[in-house]
Amino acid sequence: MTSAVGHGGRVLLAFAWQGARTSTAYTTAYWMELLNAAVRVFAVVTVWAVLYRSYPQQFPVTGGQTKTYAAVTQLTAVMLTWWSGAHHRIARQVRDGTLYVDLLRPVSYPFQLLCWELGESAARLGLVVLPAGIPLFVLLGLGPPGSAAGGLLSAASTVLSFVLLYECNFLVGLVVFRTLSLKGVQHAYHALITLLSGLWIPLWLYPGPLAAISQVLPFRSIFYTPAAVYVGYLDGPAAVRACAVQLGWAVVLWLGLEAGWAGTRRALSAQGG
Amino acid sequence: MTEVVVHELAKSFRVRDAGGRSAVAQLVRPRYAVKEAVRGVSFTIGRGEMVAYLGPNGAGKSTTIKCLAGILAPTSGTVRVGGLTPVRQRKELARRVGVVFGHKTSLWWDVPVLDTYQLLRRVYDLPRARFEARLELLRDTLGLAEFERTPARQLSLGQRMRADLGAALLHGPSVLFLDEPTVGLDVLAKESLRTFIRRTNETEGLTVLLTTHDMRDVEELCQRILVIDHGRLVFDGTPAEITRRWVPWTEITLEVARPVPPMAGDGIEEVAREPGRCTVRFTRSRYSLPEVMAVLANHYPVLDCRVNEPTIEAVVRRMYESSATLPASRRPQP
Ligand SMILES: Nc1ncnc2c1ncn2[C@@H]1O[C@H](COP(=O)(O)OP(=O)(O)OP(=O)(O)O)[C@@H](O)[C@H]1O
Ligand SMILES: [Mg+2]
Repeated sequence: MTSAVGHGGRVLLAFAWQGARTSTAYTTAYWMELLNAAVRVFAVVTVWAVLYRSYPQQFPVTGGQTKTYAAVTQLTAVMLTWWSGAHHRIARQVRDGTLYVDLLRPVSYPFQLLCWELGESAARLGLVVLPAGIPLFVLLGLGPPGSAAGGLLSAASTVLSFVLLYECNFLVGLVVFRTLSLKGVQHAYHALITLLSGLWIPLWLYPGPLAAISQVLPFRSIFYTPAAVYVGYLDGPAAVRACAVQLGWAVVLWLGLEAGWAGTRRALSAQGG
Repeated sequence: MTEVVVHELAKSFRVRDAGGRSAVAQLVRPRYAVKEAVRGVSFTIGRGEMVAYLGPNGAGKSTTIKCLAGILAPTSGTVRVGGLTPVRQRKELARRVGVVFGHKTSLWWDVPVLDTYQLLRRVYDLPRARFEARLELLRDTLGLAEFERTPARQLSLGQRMRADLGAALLHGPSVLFLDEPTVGLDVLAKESLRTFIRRTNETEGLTVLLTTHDMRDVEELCQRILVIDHGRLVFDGTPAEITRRWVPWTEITLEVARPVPPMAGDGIEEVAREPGRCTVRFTRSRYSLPEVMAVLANHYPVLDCRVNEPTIEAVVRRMYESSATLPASRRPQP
């Protein structure tokens, strides 16, 4: 058991390292990505600053918190590149038939994919998010975490966000095995994330019914929770509870992923790749 | 020691079968047909054997290899590789076999070859010393040094195949499955790949099952041939046996001084003629070469002669041709 864990850890590190090297393989693309990230954060923060100034009484938080929330969610989004995650990799591998090559390895496919994604996200954190984020925070006068504990919890929460998003992406990717194309599902899925994850709009602004819907779905845990904890809108027991919900979803979705993958494996070994 | 056991292996696929119905009908209530790709194939392969798995397009070769590699589950029958049941014990199997599909690369596209190998070292959990020794060996024998820092997407086909073969052998498997490993390669690249496979077989006792459409692969590598056709095994034996059975004759081309009437004897007959040249065919079981030469010298004013031993290529062509003319059900069973 411990040796299996050790092996998994070593695979994870190797893939992470590789992900970093692959991300920097194209220099022009790298600089464009950095610029794009900066512009994106700047634009979204500016929009929210304007909105806050126009309707301050509509916001349950301060202007500073509003801007910081916007910056944190956008930077997290850049790190996770949720719009081109595991589901795209699965779709590509199904299309070009390289999936069964990955099945020949003594490591499970969901784990291999997780390693890749983690590697690339870690690389983007170091190479894009921090280099673009730190100057922007200083420049735009954005705040540090609400509290030291909040900062730590928010960091842990971001790791869970990564896992959750990976699980959602993977589950969406499984649909490709049935439809052989990502097109329709992907639009629906991205709409859900856009609306219910807190990526573009802080969920504390949502009216009753929409807030209720977002409560029962896992998407809020992806962008809203870590950012709301960071700015201190959620703190103390509420923050811990939100992270516990994240953890709960991560476990449930992992079970779903394992079951879904087992079913797909069975279908694949009956029908071929 | 047997390494591979295939017993009554059958594999069928469910395929959509519109059967002349409209696209809408097919969409609403899809109808399926069963495609039997492999139908009751049995063979065993001993440790260290190199076996060619031949058959025309669509015969069921790749399907069999996928069953052996644990990618496909057999519909019925049993498959064991190194004592393991492929689909059920896939991870253990992965450590003991290497697989190369000539049409698909197992290398990560954007990653330099050497980095891919480093990742595989982690995936297969190889101790560093063993990995380094192995890499050194592969570097020498496959000539990896010239392109090991190049990402897979920039490799030529020949380089890619060498890198793929290296990746399949990095963890020191005892069985190697090759599905058309030489497809699309030039003569020299094929040659170097064959040399490598042969050498690995000799030094490590590697068991090899390979499918190919290039009969030079068979001649240079394999002591045994399996032929599958329409999902059934139609031959299992040595190259000499397959030749004896399917092309029981040898042809001799004679340069002649002047035209004479064609020879049409019992077991010796003329089959082609050009100005100044005749080709004669004789049944090997009836005559020995010296006997035939004596008979021919008697009939023809022979200036010179050349013996054309049947190539495996010709033998296999004859086999495939004769199978194509008979419906599967009426084909003679071996
Ligand atoms: N996943 C699949 N779904 C449906 N039919 C399949 C599938 N894979 C193979 N077949 C069918 O099974 C038969 C055997 O295919 P297979 O790929 O094993 O042939 P092969 O001997 O490797 O041929 P080739 O020399 O062309 O590579 C073919 O008729 C093919 O169309
Ligand atoms: Mg094939």
